[in-house]
Amino acid sequence: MRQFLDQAHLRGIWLPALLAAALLGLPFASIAAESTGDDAAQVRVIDGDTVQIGSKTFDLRGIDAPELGQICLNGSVPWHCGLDAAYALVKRFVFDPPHCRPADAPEAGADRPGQVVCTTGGLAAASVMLEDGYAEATKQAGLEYLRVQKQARKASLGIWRGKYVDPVRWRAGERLPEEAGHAPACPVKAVHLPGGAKVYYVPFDPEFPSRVIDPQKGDRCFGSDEAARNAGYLRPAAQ
Amino acid sequence: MTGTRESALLPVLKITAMLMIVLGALMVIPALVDLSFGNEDWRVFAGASGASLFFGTALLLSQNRPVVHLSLRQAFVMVNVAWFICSAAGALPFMLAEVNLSLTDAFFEAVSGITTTGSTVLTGLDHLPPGILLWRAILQWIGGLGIIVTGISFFPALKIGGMQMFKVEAFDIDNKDFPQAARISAGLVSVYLLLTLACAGALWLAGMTGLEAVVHAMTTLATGGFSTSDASVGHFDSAVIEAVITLGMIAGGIPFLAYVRLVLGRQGKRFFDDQVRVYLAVLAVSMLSIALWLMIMRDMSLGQSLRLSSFNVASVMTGTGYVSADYLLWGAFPMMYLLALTLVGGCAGSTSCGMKIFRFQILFRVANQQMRRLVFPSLARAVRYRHMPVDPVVMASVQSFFFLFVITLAGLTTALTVTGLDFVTAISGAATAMANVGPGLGEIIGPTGTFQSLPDSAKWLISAGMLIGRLEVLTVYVLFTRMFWLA
Repeated sequence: MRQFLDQAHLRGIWLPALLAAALLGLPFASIAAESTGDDAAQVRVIDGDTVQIGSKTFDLRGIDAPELGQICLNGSVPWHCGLDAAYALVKRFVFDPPHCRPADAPEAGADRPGQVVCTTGGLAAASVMLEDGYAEATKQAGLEYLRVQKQARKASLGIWRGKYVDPVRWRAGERLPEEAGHAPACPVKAVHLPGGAKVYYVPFDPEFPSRVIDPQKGDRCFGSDEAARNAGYLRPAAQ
Repeated sequence: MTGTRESALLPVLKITAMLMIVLGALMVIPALVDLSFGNEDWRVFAGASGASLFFGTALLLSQNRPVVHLSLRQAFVMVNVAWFICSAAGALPFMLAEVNLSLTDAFFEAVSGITTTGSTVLTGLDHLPPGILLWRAILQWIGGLGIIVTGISFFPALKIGGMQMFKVEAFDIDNKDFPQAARISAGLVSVYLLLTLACAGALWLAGMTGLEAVVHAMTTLATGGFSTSDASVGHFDSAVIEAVITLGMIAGGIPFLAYVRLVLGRQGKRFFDDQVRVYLAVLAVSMLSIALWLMIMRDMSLGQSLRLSSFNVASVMTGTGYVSADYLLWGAFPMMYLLALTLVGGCAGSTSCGMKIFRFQILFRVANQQMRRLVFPSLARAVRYRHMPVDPVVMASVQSFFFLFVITLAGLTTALTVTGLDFVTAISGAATAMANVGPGLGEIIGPTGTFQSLPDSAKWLISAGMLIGRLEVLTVYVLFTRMFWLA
């Protein structure tokens, strides 16, 4: 031990060790109470192209992502493209909390409520979803979005790896033959709360696992948030 | 190889069979966990465990001769086969469980686990059943132990990339001193297990649940990086948890034989040897440099910048791959710095990845010697490492490793661009695979992205990159030489 602490080792061992300890100890001790999170909780993801801000639901302008219950093909293998697209958006928003503003010029003919432009990590969330191949550009999307989509398509990313039904047609009821037997069990839980309110939950809601579908009360499963809304269900109030 | 090819492959088959039995036994753990949580996946793990145990035992019983000696070529084949078979067997639960991954995705996830890379194709980790989360952690933990054993016993014996400098006589493949080898092996496993338990306890005390603490402890010491959340360690937003994991990752990057020597009270002063000192110094300088950048360029407080830089630098350099923030937003300098650290890695004989500190030390010293010779042609001082002159064969071995690593990196990058990926995704995907780190750069596979959306061709290429990188390049490539199979 004495040898271990001799002068040479004080120079050779303890200085780097002390420096490392100081580096690690200082930040973690001084900022234990400091949080890296911010207002991400105010924007909740509903699916790959829909967010909830406050009690209202908005589409991300310029993209249409697969619905939560939708199945796409990767070559010939079915995969949960709708859920994965939404999870990808959730992950991005956790790391880079989004900042959303109303879209300047909402797209004509959109079959859903208002539209917003959300930025995450300095980029448009819609553009990032296109870049990953988790969404397709809408007809009114700008040239930049179309360029990003072209790149994702060229690289066979995400939905471009195989066949999929355009989300507009999927919402209208069209399905791939391969979707049969592969759809997620209940991606949107629409329930009647004790007070009588009709509310729908998606897998990213903290309440989702505890909500049980009771058909006798009129509770239902839906494949998309749009279908739940069209049936008169609303989102739970923001936390 | 002597005798027939069948008899030459006998030890390989026998050791592979033992590994299958070990994997089968380990699958019982997630089966029990899922059973206790009431998740149906327990049947999958039980079935996969049964299959692995059955085939492993059948293979073992079919060979009635004991393995007493491995030739060099048998050792090369065995290392490759063992890592491939473990990956394949490890993929079974991913295909059959609730996550229901395709063959490509399941193999990718298993290879990423067993090589302690940490890249994942799974999304929605926060909602996955406990069994599958635990299985991912077990794969990384056993992969970490596997690379410690391979790094101490096989790589030095096979003279891979200068690893012969770390030869331990008891682990020589010609060695007959099994008691000594067994003692050291038991010491290695004990140290690895104790450090993991200590890390799990600390994480539990810091606020993680039991499952989260166990999973993160296993993947921390293995420098693997699989987490229980899509947001990785950022999910917990806890400075204490990040501190524990940072220390765990740094501990995982130190040679495990050094711990054993320290515990046994022998050569304790050699714990902080040349390699470990430089490893810690590079970590410290990198943490400080990036923290300074964050303070000056990103206007962060001293505490916040040091917290972010310490955790993410340790994660990237040791090849763990946890993320606590989107470091792509920090600017060009930290991004390039982290990419470089990805390739540097930790110490030889640890669970960490990359090209390893000692190789850079030797290459720097060789380069320094060359420059001296330019000025003083008659001065012929030998390159020294760990107070010993470095054999020219070792220098050539390190240079060959470096050359092949870089060539493979370039080749893999090119192949990934052929699949249609952009350059940043391709080069960072190749680097993160070969250095067994985890996340890459760019929006697609960066810290906030996922490997899920990549085409299958890219996933197979990256899987190959992970295995080649983990087996230190030369171990794999030698199988593709004609002379290897000539005898």
